[in-house]
Amino acid sequence: MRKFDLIEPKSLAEACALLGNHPDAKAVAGGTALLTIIKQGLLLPKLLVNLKKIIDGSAITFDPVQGLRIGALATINEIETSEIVNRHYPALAEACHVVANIRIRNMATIGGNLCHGDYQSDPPTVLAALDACVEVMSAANVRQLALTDFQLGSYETALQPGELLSAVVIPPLPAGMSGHYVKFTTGSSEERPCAGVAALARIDGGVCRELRLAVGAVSAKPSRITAEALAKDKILTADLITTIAAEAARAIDPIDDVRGSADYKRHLVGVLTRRALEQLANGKTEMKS
Amino acid sequence: MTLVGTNVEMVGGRAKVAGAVTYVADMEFAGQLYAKALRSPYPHAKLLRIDASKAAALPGVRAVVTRDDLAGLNPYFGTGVEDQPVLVIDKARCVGDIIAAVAADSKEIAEEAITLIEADYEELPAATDILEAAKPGAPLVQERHVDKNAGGNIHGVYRAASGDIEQGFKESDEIIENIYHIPPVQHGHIEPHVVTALWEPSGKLVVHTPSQTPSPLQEQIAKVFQMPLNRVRVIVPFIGGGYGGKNHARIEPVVALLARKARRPVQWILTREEVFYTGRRFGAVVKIKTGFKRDGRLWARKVEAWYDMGAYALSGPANTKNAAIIAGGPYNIPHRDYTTYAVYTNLPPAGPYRGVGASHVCWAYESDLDDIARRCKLDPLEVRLKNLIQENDRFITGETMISVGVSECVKQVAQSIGWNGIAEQEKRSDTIVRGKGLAVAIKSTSTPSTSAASVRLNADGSAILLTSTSDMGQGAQTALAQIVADELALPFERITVTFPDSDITPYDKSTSSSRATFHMGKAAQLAVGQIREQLFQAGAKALEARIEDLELRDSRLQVRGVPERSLTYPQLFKAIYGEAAGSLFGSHTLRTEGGIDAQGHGKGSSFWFYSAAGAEVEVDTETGKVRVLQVASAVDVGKAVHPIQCGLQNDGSALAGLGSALVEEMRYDNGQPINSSFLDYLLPSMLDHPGEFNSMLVETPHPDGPCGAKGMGEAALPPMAPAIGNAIANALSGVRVRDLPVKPHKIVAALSNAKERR
Repeated sequence: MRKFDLIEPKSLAEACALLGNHPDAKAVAGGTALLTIIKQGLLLPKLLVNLKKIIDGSAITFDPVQGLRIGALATINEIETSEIVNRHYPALAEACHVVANIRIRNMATIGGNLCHGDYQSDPPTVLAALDACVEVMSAANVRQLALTDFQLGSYETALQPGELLSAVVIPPLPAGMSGHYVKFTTGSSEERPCAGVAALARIDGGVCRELRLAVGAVSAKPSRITAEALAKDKILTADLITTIAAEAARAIDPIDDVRGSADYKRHLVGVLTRRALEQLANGKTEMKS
Repeated sequence: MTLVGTNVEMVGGRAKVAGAVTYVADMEFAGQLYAKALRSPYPHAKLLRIDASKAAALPGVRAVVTRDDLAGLNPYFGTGVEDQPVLVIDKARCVGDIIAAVAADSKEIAEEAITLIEADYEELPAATDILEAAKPGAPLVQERHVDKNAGGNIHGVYRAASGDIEQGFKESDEIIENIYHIPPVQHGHIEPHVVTALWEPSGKLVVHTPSQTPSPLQEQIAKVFQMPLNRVRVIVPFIGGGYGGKNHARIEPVVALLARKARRPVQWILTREEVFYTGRRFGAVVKIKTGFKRDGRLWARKVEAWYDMGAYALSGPANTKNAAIIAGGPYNIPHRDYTTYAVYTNLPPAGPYRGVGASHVCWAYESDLDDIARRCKLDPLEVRLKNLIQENDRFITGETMISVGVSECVKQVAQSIGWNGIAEQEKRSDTIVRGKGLAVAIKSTSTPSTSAASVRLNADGSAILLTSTSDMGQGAQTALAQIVADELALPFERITVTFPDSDITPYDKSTSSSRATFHMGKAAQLAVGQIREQLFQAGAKALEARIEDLELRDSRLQVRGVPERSLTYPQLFKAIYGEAAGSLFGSHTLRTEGGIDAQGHGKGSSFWFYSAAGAEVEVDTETGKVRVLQVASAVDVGKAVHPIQCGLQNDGSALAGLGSALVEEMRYDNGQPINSSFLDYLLPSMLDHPGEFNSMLVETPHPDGPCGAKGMGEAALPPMAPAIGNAIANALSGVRVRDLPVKPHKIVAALSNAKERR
């Protein structure tokens, strides 16, 4: 691995200033993605801005009106084990729990996960279903944008030079909304997902008031499935489920990768979506891929 | 009390757990430099020009070597075929071939220097598919080492036959024919290849390397540098895993060359990506055609198997030759015709990987066996037992088979997984089905071969076994110490087993082929025999007894059953040398008999491995996902010298078998490796580990082994993939995936094809 300089700012503001002044510098937190890329020689930054020494960058707080705020430096393990997250957004805890292995989850941060922009990842899919926003700060200001607008493509985000992702913000879920995230791997269980499906629903007296469906790891970024709207104020019958699942499989634009062909991913999304909806319709809490 | 058969504490076990073991990468020598190589980006390319002057001029760079530095050397090395250059000379034969190497004050400087080397190539058409590479007219990888009669990149054609194959097919009630694909996989040893080389002022070369073959390696290095063996010292400490990946010379010659030019010690630790360029299991294609009788008797079998050696042969020809005689499995079949081909390709070199050669054909013949049982509507266990070779049966080689525990192995695994005689599926739901599967395997060990051992007895009653057997985690030092301790009636703690050091320890063919316990154990026993002779002669005189009335017992030589008439070791030394000092030596060179001729006749193996595996799986028919619920493996070990270590080796082999059954595959795109890291090539994780895991040891003693022991390390691996494959096929009413690994999308496709056919 090539040598680089390391600067350790004490605050996010200081970090933003450093990144603004050194356009070639890279921010590093857990390092599980960046160091791998450096080792592979794909990126050879001369300067790394280490965010790990920043205090208060990893707080997880919940407010019934504002919703959940996760500091970008929170590790995946901190999120999966957070009592707040497990109580209010169990699907997010589920998605974090199935990321890689415990060694990675102890190091990797949610901010790093999102800024890396790897489409073969679990948290972004469930965050898309949760209508999550990200808070992006620079030396001059703070802006908020929807996660689906932040992630532009494979390894591509809306982050500008001198900007840092400072927090993930998730609005409160409507009362009664629950659901799950399903990761599907084609190789070792620790592998990145071949496909991931997040499904959340608010079912009231057997009638679905709202359905949220997100699919990830099959194309350049996670996407919400517009056919989720078909479920509004309907009973999730077998026919309706089949229709929505088929629509999900049709709507995505899968790509071939080492974890599965585009055709297989499309097939998989149909199956996983149908099963996720069946589970929601049956009110089951446990879901399996 | 004897130590053989007991679970003594593993030698080095505590140090390993405490992180106190010094591996080659941990060693630091004064003035040590660090190496890095420029590697070919092309699978096949002429090296037109190379200019390393800018790299050499970089401050901190102490030596750069290219093909211009090979003058005065034998530039090609190899185990059987000398086809691998120390550095690329005229053309690169695979991605990762070493073009140039640098030694510098730090790894970072070496890495930077590599980027300053200028190399111009002319790309050549590449042979990257096994069957295409084997055809006449294919681009030639090794022009000087192909079999002109066979054509293409075929290096060697190996045959074994018996009976009359055409007649056999005519007499068969039914015939099935299938093609199986087996991809290359990684060894996954945690310690990468790592070498430190230094030249002493006298001009003697010292090489520290985690090698499974220290003696042949020493010979190869000596030949490259044109020096006698005593001027090349190869030292092997504990190895951090080998599995066949650390056989043969790999990067040792180029590190030695760098160290000579730099006049400083040079260490090179490969990155994981480079390990993927340095070794792998052969990929293979196996065509198999079997004729059988309706009662399940196998009647005629024809097998053709192509083994992809990659750019350099290593032990490929020997492994492919051995595969020919076992290509149809451990079965009595009246008419057999087996052919194997060793094929060069423009892929990184392949070589031994646990279960070498055997796993490929086993995947084919055991998958087919279940298909045959299904056609006959018979229990696959019954069909196996009906056809398996038994004690004193004649094998295809013409030899009489002894110590045959294969039926017992398969019976035990069947019982362990609750085999009930029905191959049919168990439905859990519309989409979740379960199935169980069985498989057996046979494998040879390298034959003939040589192992030498020396034992030195100290006057206090302690001894040291001088051996070039490597300990790579399998516990060889422990097992050998048990054997020596028993021969001398000494406590375990009184025996030291050396690490290989060619200045001190005698010749040994290899710690591979699961041969160490059998060969080195026997050589050590016979070496101790010489010491025992001296002790008994001296004791007989001193005790005024006949030699045949004496026995070694509890650290003493005594008149059998009369402990009062005995001598301690110091007393024995005093009897021999006049004082309780001096050393007693014993040594033995064991050369096994055998080998097979061009017709596949002879003695194929100094002992044969027999093993069986069973598995139960759950298959999701919609996604194709397979979950392994339980596995069982049974290996005929002859005699378990250390039952826990045997069991652990079985577990490791079985898990590796599970990996190659379901997930592992090194992939290439026109010769470019595309998953050369543990990010993209994942081994099974703990979550993939079956809930139930049972490994069993069958003991069918072998007359030639120490205490009846046979080798066993690799035996559990070959049958594991077909056992899982058969379990999947049984879960799916016979629908089968014949290409490893059995990935989910292949199951979905196979089910969909089967549906269309119906």
